[in-house]
Amino acid sequence: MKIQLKDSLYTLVRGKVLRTRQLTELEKLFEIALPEGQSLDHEPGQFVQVSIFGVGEAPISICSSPTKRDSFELAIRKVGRLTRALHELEPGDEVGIRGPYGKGFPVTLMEGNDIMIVGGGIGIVPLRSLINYIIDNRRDFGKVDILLGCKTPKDMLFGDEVETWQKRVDVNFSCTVDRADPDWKGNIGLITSLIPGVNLDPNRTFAAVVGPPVMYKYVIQELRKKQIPDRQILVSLERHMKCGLGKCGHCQIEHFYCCQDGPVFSFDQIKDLEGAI
Amino acid sequence: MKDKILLKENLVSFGNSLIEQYRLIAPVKSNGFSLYKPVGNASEICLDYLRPLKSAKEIFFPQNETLFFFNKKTQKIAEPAYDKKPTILFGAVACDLAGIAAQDRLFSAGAYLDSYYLKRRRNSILIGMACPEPGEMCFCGFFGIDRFASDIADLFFTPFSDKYYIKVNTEAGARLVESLPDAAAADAKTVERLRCENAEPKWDIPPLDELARMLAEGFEADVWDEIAQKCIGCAACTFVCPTCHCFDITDEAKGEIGRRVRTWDGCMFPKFTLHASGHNPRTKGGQRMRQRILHKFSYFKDNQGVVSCTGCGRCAEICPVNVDIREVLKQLGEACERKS
Repeated sequence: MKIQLKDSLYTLVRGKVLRTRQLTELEKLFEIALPEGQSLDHEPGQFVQVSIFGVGEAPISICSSPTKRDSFELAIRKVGRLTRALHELEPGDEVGIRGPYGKGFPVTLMEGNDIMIVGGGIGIVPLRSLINYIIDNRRDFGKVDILLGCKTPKDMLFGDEVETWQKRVDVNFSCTVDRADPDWKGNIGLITSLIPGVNLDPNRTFAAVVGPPVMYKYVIQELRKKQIPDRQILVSLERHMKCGLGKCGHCQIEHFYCCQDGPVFSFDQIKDLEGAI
Repeated sequence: MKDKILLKENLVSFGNSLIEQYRLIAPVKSNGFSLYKPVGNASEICLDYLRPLKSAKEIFFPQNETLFFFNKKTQKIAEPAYDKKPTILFGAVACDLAGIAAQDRLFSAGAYLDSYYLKRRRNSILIGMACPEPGEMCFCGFFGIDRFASDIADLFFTPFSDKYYIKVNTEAGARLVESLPDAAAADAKTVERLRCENAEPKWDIPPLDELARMLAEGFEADVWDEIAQKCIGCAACTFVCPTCHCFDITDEAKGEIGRRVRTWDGCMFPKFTLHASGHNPRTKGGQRMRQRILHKFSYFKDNQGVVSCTGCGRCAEICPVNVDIREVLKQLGEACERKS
């Protein structure tokens, strides 16, 4: 059994921070380029392992579309040790990158169909890679509905970009907040309240749902009321993947390794798994 | 390949002849316990044991290992030096060899070959040793593990009278015992008789195939919470287990220089699945207990083709609150019967 073993699976490439932008009080956007003009070549919905030497490593979803080739973007909430350190980075600084890992949204399968995007809170981050991919390949997809929800208007990430989606004539856009402020002119209420109003042909609709754990159950209930088949309801599940290679065990959802078999699953893959959602 | 015979009195000189070319690891007495450890002189080898306190997994998958060194200032990384001297694991019992077979599958599964594990493993020779009598906590026979043979071993020793019968399984093994006398047909018969005389007792656990069905049906059974009630979440069971392979990856640094380390972790720790956001997909003890048992008996089998419990009984032996995996399986079986 003389097989040439490749180098360590844990070596990384050094990504250079090109630009950063504070999105909200907690979230910051990083634009990162790989050395020598390499392209990350990811699928929408995949993630990378990001690290700072001496602090640690964490899985972060890629929020830019693969159609943007010379750099990629990560939107990172300041919540733990590594993300706090990442927020200190300035343009020109370097981070360790390995990946991309996992299964993203099955865009080839989705082509030719209508798309419904349902994003809650920080769920917009991985969905943004899909939304921009669809917009950049708009003719490959049918009708597109984007439904977004967040706690208050100031929590809405990518506000200016969301506005351009809203203005497009080839995208149906709606948005809701749990609590409005005086300037808010849109809907108030949970994201589930937006679903009944969407006019759709269930057999040719793929729904992509990403949000906080509590959101999935209720959103999926609404989507099933609309008769969207379970295999066409796509969710992205969050787990704390340590290796990203299907070995360390941290992200296991029964027999699935979320880092390899997911993070994007169709609902029919996971509906019988009690621990999934 | 002909089977061989080694006189027990020649074991030390045989062992020492290996030490010249190989890193020899064998059971030795250490603070009153038997442990698999590197041996400087074969006279240290101690075969007067049931099975070592810890499994053999750390030989190829160390509890703590450097993935790479880094320099924070230059951002350069360097992989740790790798000892090219091949390893011989001598005296491994069948349950531990079965554990290595399971780990082999995991670390070479999917698209990702784990170079750290496989570099060591592929540069190794396994010499098994028959386990004459199962211990109080042992139930390897339940899994059909033969205490007198192992396919994964290059050589397999069975002691009888003043000799060892050496079953030669591979060319690499054959080269080590070339100069030893061939075994006679009568010797093979003696060893076979020994094996039959030591047939396994019956187990009052549902048989494996039935167990698989019960585990699927009993997924939501309350019995998990009952079983987990006394568990204190110390994860000692995962550390002594020959097949548990969960690990964490962390950085350690002093000044500019540091290392990225992989360290054993365990699914029985309450914080094992904790996210930075505070969300935890497995908050209840029952969920964690179920994860560990079902990983062994169901998920690992689905993904890697084998059940990953070898019946070594170490988890039951080490558990500070007496959670006994055999009892867990029995309780689960009873709970399923009550339900139906």
